[in-house]
Amino acid sequence: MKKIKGFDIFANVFLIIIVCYCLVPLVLLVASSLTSNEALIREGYSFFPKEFSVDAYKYLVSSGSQIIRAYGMSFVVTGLGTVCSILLTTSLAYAISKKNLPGGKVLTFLVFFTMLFNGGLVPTYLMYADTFHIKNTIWALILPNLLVRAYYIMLMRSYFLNNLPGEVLEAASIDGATEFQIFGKVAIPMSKPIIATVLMFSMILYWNDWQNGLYYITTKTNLYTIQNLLNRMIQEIQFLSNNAVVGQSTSTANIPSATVRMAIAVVGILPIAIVYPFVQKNFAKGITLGAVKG
Amino acid sequence: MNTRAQSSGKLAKNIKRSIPIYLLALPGLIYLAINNYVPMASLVVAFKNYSAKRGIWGSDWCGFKNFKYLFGTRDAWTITRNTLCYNIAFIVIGTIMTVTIAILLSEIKGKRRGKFYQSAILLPYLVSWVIISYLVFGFLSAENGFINNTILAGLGKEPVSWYNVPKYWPIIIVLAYLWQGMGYHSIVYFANVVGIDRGYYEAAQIEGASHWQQIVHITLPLLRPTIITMVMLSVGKIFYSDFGLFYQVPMNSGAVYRVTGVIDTYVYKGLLEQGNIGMSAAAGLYQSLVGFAVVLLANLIVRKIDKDSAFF
Amino acid sequence: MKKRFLAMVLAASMVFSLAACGGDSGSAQGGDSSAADSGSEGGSDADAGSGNGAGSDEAGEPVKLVMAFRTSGSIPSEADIDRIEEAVNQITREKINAEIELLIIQNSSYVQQMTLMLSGSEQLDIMGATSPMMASTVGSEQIRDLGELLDTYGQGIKEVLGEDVLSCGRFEGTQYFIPPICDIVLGMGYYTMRKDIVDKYNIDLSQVKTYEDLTEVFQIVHDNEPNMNVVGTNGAGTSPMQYNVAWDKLGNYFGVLDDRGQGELKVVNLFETENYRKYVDTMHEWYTKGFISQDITNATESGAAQMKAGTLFAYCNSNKPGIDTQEAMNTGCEVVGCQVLDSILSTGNNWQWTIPENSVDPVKAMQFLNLLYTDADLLNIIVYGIEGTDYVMHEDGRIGYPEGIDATNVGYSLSPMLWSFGNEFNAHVWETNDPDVWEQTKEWNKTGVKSKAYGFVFNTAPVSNEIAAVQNVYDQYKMSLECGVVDPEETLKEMNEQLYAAGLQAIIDEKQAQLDKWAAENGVN
Repeated sequence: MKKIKGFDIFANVFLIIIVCYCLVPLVLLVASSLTSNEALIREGYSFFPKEFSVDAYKYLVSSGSQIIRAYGMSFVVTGLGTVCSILLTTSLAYAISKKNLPGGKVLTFLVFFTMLFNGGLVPTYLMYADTFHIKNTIWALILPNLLVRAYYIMLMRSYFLNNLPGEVLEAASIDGATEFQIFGKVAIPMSKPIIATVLMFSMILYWNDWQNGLYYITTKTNLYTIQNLLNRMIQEIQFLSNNAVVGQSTSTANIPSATVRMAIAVVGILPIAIVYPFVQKNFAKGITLGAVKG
Repeated sequence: MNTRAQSSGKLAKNIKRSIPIYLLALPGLIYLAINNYVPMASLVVAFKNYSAKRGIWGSDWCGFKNFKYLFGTRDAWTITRNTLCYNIAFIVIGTIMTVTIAILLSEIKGKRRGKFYQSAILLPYLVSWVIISYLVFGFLSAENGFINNTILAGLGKEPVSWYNVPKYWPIIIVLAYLWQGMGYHSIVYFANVVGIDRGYYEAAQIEGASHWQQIVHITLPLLRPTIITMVMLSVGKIFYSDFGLFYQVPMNSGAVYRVTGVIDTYVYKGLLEQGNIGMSAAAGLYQSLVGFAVVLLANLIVRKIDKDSAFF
Repeated sequence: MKKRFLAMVLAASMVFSLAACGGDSGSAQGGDSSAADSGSEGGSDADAGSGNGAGSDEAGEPVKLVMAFRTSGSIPSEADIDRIEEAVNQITREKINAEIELLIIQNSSYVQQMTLMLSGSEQLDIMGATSPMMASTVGSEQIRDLGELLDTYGQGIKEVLGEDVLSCGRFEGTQYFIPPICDIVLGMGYYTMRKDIVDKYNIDLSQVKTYEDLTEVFQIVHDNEPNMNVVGTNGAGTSPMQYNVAWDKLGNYFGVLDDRGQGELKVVNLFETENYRKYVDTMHEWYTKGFISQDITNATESGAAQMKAGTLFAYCNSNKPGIDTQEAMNTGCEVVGCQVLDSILSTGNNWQWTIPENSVDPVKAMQFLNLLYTDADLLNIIVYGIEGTDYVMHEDGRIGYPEGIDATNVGYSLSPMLWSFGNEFNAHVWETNDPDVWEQTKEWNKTGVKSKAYGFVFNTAPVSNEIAAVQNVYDQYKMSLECGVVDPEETLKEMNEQLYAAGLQAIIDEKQAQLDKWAAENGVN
């Protein structure tokens, strides 16, 4: 009993150190987004804002309805993309995890191979823009990321291999269940933790993605996701601070450049920070395999 | 003769029986064929003098000319060494940290506390490298940085010009890498630990095994296949590196380039604005081929140790 | 084992067969697009032929042209761009029977976006090219020879630019590009300073003519304002060297003509010239005297932003008419400046217009460019938007924002890019400038020391490998050397060794060969 308690203390102390390590810079992030721009440049980044100011957020809000629409796009793209990608990933991973599937190793290799080699941006772009003509449509934000990481497939395959006992599946098949039924009614419920994991991963992937928007959304800027919008703002500000402004009329003096960057990061993280605890439930809930085994 | 006929008959039967499985795999495979394999053919442009007018296939061959710049300088060795060393460090340190975190997280009694820990360490993954570079600058700025102004000043030590001293950067890079990715990568292990049959632990407790013993004798062995998978996956990317980490975080500081330059940053700087398709393709092909070779090697080794965990 | 091998072979063959499919479709596409191109070319030729005399009478549906360019400011919303396109089209429909689609791309992703678009068969009729894009677009045969088009449909452009400026768009003798006309002379070594401090210590800037004089000024400020960095860079993390140039950089800095291109046409290594040495020595002196921030090499804020925050006294820049009012707006305080180097005129190709192979109608594209250089209304709409909505005209003919509108909430304004749209002198004058700023600029353009190699454009393609390698070496030293952080004595020698090892001599030799050829063709010596 005593030993367990000692272990408990160790686990908590260790994790609290890690948590602090992760949170301290984030506190700095939030604090600096709430500092006045001049104070930030003059005094540097500080945990306790010398001059409190919400100018950065005001500036973001001044770009108006754009931000709200972009949030909406992000939710739609993330939702749609995640669902499609989970379906594709799970079914493919399940298939190649079957030990006695003829050609299974070849298929696994084909999946794995895509992790190592890729054609690069240009041919992929040509495929989507010239062949499928999805430039400036919402599909450009969804399709390129569906199975972009063969990594997830391999991860799931490895989970299926290790955690789905062959006997259980066989028992189901003797009971007369079709392969589809086994997949849907036995394999999936038994793999909730890994499905939740991959779900989480592809959610983050879709949420964080700004590159596809950059390449494929050039004229229909209403399709911008929040990351595209924020990234564009960051680039604009970055450009202003890196280059001489050659223009005649634009005054850059009233953009709080340094603090807006920080505010942008906060705005980008917030929704996931809110949604995450709900997804998290599934990790803990994961079916205890013992019950199935009997 | 007879047995062969029999076995091929069996194979046919097996294939027939597996049709539903193939159907399950089909959508994913079609997607990979279109999204990954067709564009892959264009890698041939690495050996060509690309002309848009004539297209990739009509352009003239140019041998290995596009690869030359990768090996053209004394830096070729430096960037290769850096890329390899950092990736090995990431694999070793990263794996130890993430597995530890995952196991400890699963042992936390208070449910709410566990959730809080987990959320907190995941958050950094959502911050882009550009922003991280500013946060790092907040700590390391020579004039206003938190470390120089508060910590070193508090200890009565001389301020350090962090961005000009190479020796600190390997540590800073690893710390930044862990900060950003640790929580995210521990999720995989966490899901696997949670998936372990509780019965094993109950049995062990009845026999009086301590927590340590349970971890060493139950959790770790059961995690082994996952760890192997994850390591193998990282090994395939051993010649790649996270561009943002190596370019943004040191703020492209030339003075520390010797220890922060990696293949990806070299290619980026060299081809910045040149838009040379052939040369970019050459770099990608080189990285992929090395990764492929290393993975094949690793797979051979894994097959010797743990046949089931091998990929192919 | 055998089975496994078989499986691998199978996998490999599958990859290849798929690859082959991709190949087919790829080449078919290429063929298609070129066929379509030549078709439409023929068509439009005939078209233009019939309506040559009176451009506005052409029959048939207007041709839709796509025009791509970059902006450093914010990109207007879809609705605002639609509004502007409609106004532009009213002019272009009538004058050249064409409609324009504006493709406005952010500066930071412009080169990549263009690389992508030019690789495929996407329609693109008019585009701007940055100077590194020149060699790659010509080398990859992505753009057209504009020579004949310009002669036939671009007389207006020729008149506006004149032979000299136009020659900067000639790449190895072929007119692939059309440069804009703006402030083409650069006032080197210009230092923008805070006026209140200059006044406070009674500094007479008219007496400041050299770096040594500047050192004295900076010393006074440094002694009296201990909490302030005295001098910094204009852009965060960019080398101030670009404004302290006493040579002709000949495209990139690898191989230059010393003495602003006044002597013989001999390409030398910049980093071994006396002028460069003097510059880095000065910077190092300033750094060791404490004039320069320790964070200079990786500053996160522009000089203007630092000045606004009160942490910086001066930063360097390049001089031109109206520079002080421009910088006063960026810094939010009154500024004055002084120039310690000559103004120079060398080939400027930061930005040039061109017509890609992917254009559906090159003739119309050229007609549009001609209009852009000659039609003030068209230019003003594209740059400033619509009068009354995006700007208002004052009584003196200058323009400004309407009531309640400023730079952060204006619907459409590309004014930071005004200079890039061809003929700056046709545009309205912004209220903060002198009413005769364009006259001043025209005068200014006559003042510079003109390099003998003006008009020479370096083709980087033959040495692209060397440039990639040399660029990487240079990047390692550039900031710390050119911001004065390190002692040039040792570092410069080390850098030169590394640069030569990476192939600098090959670049210099190639440049010399091209320059000699150019000089012979153009009768320069």
